[in-house]
Amino acid sequence: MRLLLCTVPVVLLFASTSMRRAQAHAFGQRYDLPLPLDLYLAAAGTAVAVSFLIVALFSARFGARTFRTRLVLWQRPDESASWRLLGHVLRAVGVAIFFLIVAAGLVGAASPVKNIAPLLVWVLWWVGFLLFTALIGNLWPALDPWASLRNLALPKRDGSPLLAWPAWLGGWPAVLLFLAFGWAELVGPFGESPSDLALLVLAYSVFAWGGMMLFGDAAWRNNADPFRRVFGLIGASSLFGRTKREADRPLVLRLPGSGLLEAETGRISDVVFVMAVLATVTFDGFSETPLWAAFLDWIARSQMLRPVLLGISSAGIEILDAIRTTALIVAPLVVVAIYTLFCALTSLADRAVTLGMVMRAFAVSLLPIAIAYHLSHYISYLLLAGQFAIPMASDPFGFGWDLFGTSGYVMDIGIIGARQVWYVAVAALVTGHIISVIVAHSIALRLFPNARAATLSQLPFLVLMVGFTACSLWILAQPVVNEPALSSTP
Amino acid sequence: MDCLKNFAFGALAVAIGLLAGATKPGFASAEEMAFRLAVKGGEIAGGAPTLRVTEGDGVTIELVSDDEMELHLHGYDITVLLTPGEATAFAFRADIAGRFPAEPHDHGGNDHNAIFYLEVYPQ
Repeated sequence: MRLLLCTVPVVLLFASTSMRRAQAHAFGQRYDLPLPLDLYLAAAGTAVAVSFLIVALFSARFGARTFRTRLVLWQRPDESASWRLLGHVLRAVGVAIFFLIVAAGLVGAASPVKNIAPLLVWVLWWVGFLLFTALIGNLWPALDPWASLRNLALPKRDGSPLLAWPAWLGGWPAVLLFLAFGWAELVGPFGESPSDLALLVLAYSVFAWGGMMLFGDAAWRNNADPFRRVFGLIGASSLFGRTKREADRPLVLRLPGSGLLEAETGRISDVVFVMAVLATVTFDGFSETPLWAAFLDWIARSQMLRPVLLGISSAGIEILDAIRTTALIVAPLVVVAIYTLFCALTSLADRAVTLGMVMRAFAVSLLPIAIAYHLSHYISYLLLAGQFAIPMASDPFGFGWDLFGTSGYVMDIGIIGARQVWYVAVAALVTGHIISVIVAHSIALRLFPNARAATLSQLPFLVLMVGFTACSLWILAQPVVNEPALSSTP
Repeated sequence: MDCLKNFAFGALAVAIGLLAGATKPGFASAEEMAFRLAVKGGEIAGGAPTLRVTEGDGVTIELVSDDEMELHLHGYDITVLLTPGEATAFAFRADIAGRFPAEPHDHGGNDHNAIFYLEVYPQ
């Protein structure tokens, strides 16, 4: 950390003297250097060492209680006029941005580097706002334009939805919608085409409002809305939050990750939702590694798969899209299988604790590692692509406007040094790993009848967490390669 | 006793000098790096190579292609037009660290494929 602080002024000095202003070309291009081997090994070693240290020293009296320490900032925010005013402001901002995205997508320029819609959705919201939610706090319930517009258009009708939510559906629609959203991000054309993106937003809006009207707002929110769910889960790890431990739900300042102990994954569909989040976040990075490129190459050369590939491409489907789609379906299944295996080992620690109990209890404990990986993977991308916001604020539709005099801003690709990206990545992953281990251990102390069983139960989980952190580090240590173009003709 | 004092001052001076040197990356020696690449059928034989240099180095890349091609080095935003059989060279100072793909432009659906990568490591 001291090293990091020392290098910042040096870099600023250096950047100011020899700054080269260059235009990043493609929207969505990452220029990250692979993590050097020594940093990779040092981080992985620290993760392993700290894990065992925590297990050895952590106890119910000291660790779990300290971890739950919080500072009440606002006992009854809901009774305050300024809190309600803040809510109104956020709702207005959310609705305004929603209309800006739709309008820019429909009437603005066709290029994603001239139209603000893809930037707002994929960079500022899905990367920037998600990280804000994970680290600072969850503002999404107030910003959520679908809920706000629904409440504006129709007065609240509580209690009597047209249809009762089918019990057998549970929370599975949220899982499917989240995977569909992951597909839109990682496979679909919605990053490149602003008009497709606007149509997707409109289609989802009609779908969501239809669902709210049929089943009632609460049923939709709890079972189908993927964004409420994902921001709720990610935001539980943030510094600021409304605690559920008291009826007034006071606003508290808490230790990072400790809010996860209040997050609920009471159904198996909720557990699978968390695993789907882990899988999509990780697949995003994995699909840029040489190993993935080699796998695609192997598929392209495989004689056995040739008829399948020919069939896919003669049906007018891009082979690469088909493979990525398959991978996005398979990845969550693999993650669920691995998680189930380790939960089965964990449940052996005590006879009274079943596999289902372990699976429901521990799912959220893996989120800090995923958040840390998301931060490491995207920090430089956010700082680079995020700069598009400066010219686009003046010309959101690509019509040649200059509202604030910033439309001529040229991107500075030297805004964050390569070394800083490495340090941030390693610091984030080690911290995320430590938080995950502490969260899991706190949950174990609550779930298992005695401290001995709790400690014993954590051995499989330590292996799982070290493996997940090591995988994340491994991806960061791989050079970013573009996927080869695939064609079925030899 | 004086001798010890001198030694202490000397050591201090050396330490300050080292510290000053260590915090000024501009003082590190910059090298001139030259690469020569042959492009055949829109690719470099053996797969896209990675050219590794250090921040501050002068880089010269000479390319010969058997096909006409517009090549774009991302990040540094340099575009060169390659004419068949003719060597084309471009030079620049590698003053931003990162990993940058060089991709052909307007070449059918192939502009996803990098021909080579330039890795600029921090000093």
